[in-house]
Amino acid sequence: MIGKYALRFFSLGYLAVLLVAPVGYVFWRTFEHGVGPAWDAVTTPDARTRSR
Amino acid sequence: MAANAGTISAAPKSRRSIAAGLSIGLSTLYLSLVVLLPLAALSWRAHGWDAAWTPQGIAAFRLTLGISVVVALVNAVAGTAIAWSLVRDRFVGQGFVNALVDLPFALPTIVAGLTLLALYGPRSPVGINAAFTRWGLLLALLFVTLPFVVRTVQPVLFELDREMEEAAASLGAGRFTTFKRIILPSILPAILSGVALAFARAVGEFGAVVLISGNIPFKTEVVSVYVFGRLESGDPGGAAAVSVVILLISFGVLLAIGGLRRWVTKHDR
Repeated sequence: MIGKYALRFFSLGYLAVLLVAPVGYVFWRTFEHGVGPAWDAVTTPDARTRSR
Repeated sequence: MAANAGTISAAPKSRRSIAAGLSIGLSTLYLSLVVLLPLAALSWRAHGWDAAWTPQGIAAFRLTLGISVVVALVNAVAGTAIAWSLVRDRFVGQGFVNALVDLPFALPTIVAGLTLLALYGPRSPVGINAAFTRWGLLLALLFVTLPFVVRTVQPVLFELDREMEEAAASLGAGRFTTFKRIILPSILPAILSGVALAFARAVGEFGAVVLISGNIPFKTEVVSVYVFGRLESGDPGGAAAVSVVILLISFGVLLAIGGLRRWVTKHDR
C-alpha cells in the first residue's frame, strides 16, 4: 500500500517539477496583468503575420 | 477441372505477391525520398573532417552522448513509473495527467526551453538557477523526451494478463519478485523501444537546449549547436562532416538497443 502511494508521489512529483510547474509559471506570467496585455502581445501586426 | 482449380487458386496468390511487391516498393521509395536521399546528400557534402576532431568537437560529442545516455536511463525509470501510475493506479485527475504527458510533443521545442528558463533560469521564482549549466541541459532534454517511454510502456501494461501476477502472488511471490519475474520481462522490450526513441531525440535536440544551455564550448555545447556554429561560421562541409559522425554513432547505439530488444523478446518466449 505504501509502495503504491510512493510510486504515485514519485510519478506526479516528476511530472510536476518537469512539466506542470514551468508551463504553469509561464501561463501565470502571461496573464498576471490580465488578459489585455497578453492579447495585445499576440495581436501585433508582426505576430499576426507570423501566425498565419 | 483440376487445371481450372489451379488457375483460380493461383490468381489471388499472384495478386497478393503484386500487392506485397507494391507495398515494399512504395515503402522503400518513401524512405529513400524522405530519409536516405537527404542523408546521402549530407554525406556527399561532408568534407573538412577535421571539424569533428577538434578538441571543441570531441567535447561536444562526449557531452551529447553522455547526457543522452543519462536522459535515456532516467526516462526508463521515470517513464515506467508514470505509465504504471496511469494504468494500475486510480486517482483524481488521472485523465488530465494522461493528457499532460503529450504536452512536450505539442510545444515547439524553443518554447520548452523558454518555459524551463522562466522557472529554472537566472530570475527563477523558486531560487533554482540551472541556466548555462549541464543541469539545465539535462532538464531540457528530460522535458522533450518525457512521452517516449510512457507511451511505449502504457499499452503493454494495459494489455498485460493479470492472471499470471495473481498466480505468482498465490504461490507466495512478493510484489518485487512478481514485478521482476513476471511483469518486467513483458514490458522490457517496450521500455527499450522508448529508451531508443528518447536517446535518439536527445542526441538531435536543438531548440530546447539552445537557450538554457548557453552553448559554452567544452562545458554545455552539444553537437547540434556545434553544427549550427559551424554553419554560422561559413563551414558547411565541416558541419556536414560532424553531422555524419554523430549520425553514425547514434545509428550504432540504436542498432545495439534494437539488438538487445530482440534478444530480450526472444529469451522472454
